[in-house]
Amino acid sequence: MLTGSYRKRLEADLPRWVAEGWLSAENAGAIRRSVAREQGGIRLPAVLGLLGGLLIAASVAAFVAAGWEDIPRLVKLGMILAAILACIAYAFRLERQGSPRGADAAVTCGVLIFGAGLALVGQMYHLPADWPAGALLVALGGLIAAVLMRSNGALAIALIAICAWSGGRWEEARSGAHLGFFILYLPALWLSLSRDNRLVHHLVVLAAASWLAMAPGYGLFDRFDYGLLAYGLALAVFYVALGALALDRGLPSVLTACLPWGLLGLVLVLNTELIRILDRDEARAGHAFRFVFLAYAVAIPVVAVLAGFARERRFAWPLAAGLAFALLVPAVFWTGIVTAMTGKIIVASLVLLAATALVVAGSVGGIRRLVLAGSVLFGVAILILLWQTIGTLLDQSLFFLVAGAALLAIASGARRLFARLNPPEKEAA
Amino acid sequence: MRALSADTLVAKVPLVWRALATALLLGLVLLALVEQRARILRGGTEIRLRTVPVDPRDLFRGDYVILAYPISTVEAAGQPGFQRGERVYVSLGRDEQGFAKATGVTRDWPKAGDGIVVIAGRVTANSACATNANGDVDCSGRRNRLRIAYGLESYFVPQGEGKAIETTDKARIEVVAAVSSSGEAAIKRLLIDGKPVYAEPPY
Repeated sequence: MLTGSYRKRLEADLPRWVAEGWLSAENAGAIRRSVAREQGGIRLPAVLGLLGGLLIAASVAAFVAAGWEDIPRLVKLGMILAAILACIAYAFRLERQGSPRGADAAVTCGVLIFGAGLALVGQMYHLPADWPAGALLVALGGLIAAVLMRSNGALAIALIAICAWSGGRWEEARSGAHLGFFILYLPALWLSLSRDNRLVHHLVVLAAASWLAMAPGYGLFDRFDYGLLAYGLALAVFYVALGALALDRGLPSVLTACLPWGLLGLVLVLNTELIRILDRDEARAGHAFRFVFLAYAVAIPVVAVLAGFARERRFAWPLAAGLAFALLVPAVFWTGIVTAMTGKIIVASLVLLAATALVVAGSVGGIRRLVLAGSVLFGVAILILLWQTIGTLLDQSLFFLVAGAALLAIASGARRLFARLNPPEKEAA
Repeated sequence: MRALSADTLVAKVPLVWRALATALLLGLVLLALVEQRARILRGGTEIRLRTVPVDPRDLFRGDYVILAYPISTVEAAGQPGFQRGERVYVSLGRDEQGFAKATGVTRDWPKAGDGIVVIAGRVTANSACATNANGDVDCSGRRNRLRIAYGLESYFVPQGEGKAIETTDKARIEVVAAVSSSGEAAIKRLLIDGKPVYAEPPY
């Protein structure tokens, strides 16, 4: 699938390629026209159709909510059923005419109207406000349409509804993980493997993340414990390693969607850990509960696999090292030296090392989001360190001086280091 | 790997059959839900309930009146350890005016005596205050009562009409519900001063 960033990159590269004489100006123009056609022209009616469909579905929902009694409710139900049928029939026609995106929009609208129909039945029979049960039925309808009509929009609705249902049941029961989630999630995951839609990929990954976040149980969130940060960190590391491995080894593209969300989690948790180790009241060890060990037991092997089996080691090794540094941060808290100067220096160094490793891996592998995440982590970490210093400002100044000098030393040796990691092809042969 | 992909498998069925099946299945889910409720209204045993209403709005279903009943809180005498979300069965007798009155709560289907109706519910809290005969919450005494939801707690009305019910003196409102032989309940009529204001046909 072509994205806006791809087009921007082409715009930057094409003039250079023409200037180098690798491409004629005429061919460059043909490439530009082809990309513009793929991105704009053909998709426009489908996008407008989808927005129109969403508005129609919202209109049906509002009509149902009005509870207008001049139309008998059986007629209203008949209208809903007819609207669903019309959407599916229209989707059939569009698919036949060779417009799969338009068909997708029509099916999505049909699933939303099905949701409005569920609300109508709930209203007709005064069903109690049990929204997780409603979400479950919407998820079922979405999955049916996603399988049979091969619709991405219906799959996206189903994934959101699955999360709403599972989250609602989890909150209601106030107990541990909601295992019923997988009954609907696994079919959705299977479907997403054969789709190339990025929205679906991201939703699949986010749904798994939300389940994993809830798995330790309601009680732990109720009485917050810093062990949850370690759990979140291990999950983020797992997501980053899995996403990077998928990019490197060409695994199903749904797994590559793990990378940005893992990076977001990593940056958030590492900066939070840095803020709290510098805070006298918040620098507490926290308890490593069962799920922290489980998350570490999953994250560490995946990082090891990334380091050991990646095709491009120059990218995988710095990344694996950065992730390992990140995983060490909660361990420093558990050793009990957190309030001492040593603990603060170690955690600050680990966070800066992890950030540097992310930037290095991103630059070498040409993955911009790694560079971005590393830079943000690095920049925010420095701001935090200036705001809540390690010891006095003079101590802080010394820390930055040593860290800066160490980075410069690494930079000067980097060329030799990378040359050794990936020998030029002539020598390898 | 490609052979096991969901879309490849489904593509073997002609599009026209898939489209028909989609419309049919979505319609069937809705109709099954309708029939499940209509069956209770057609054949269930009627019980009369006193009410305690308030008036909120549901984003997708419009205005509704939240109803609470004296049977919404039940004394769990001698049976400790009910959990939130647990399914329970409440035996209902009648008071002198003919309104339903909870006589006991059990985890398993109780032995029904003469004139006893059994209604199924779900525990929503296990240390609730009691609701007294006037419908007021009474938190004096021990708080070992169960709060139970029976699926009779919301009553949907046309937009704007919820307030009218809310402002009516709650002693004047009564609900007639139908209870199926398996204990499932549905609201059948809403009465003010003994006169039906809303009646619910099965369809």
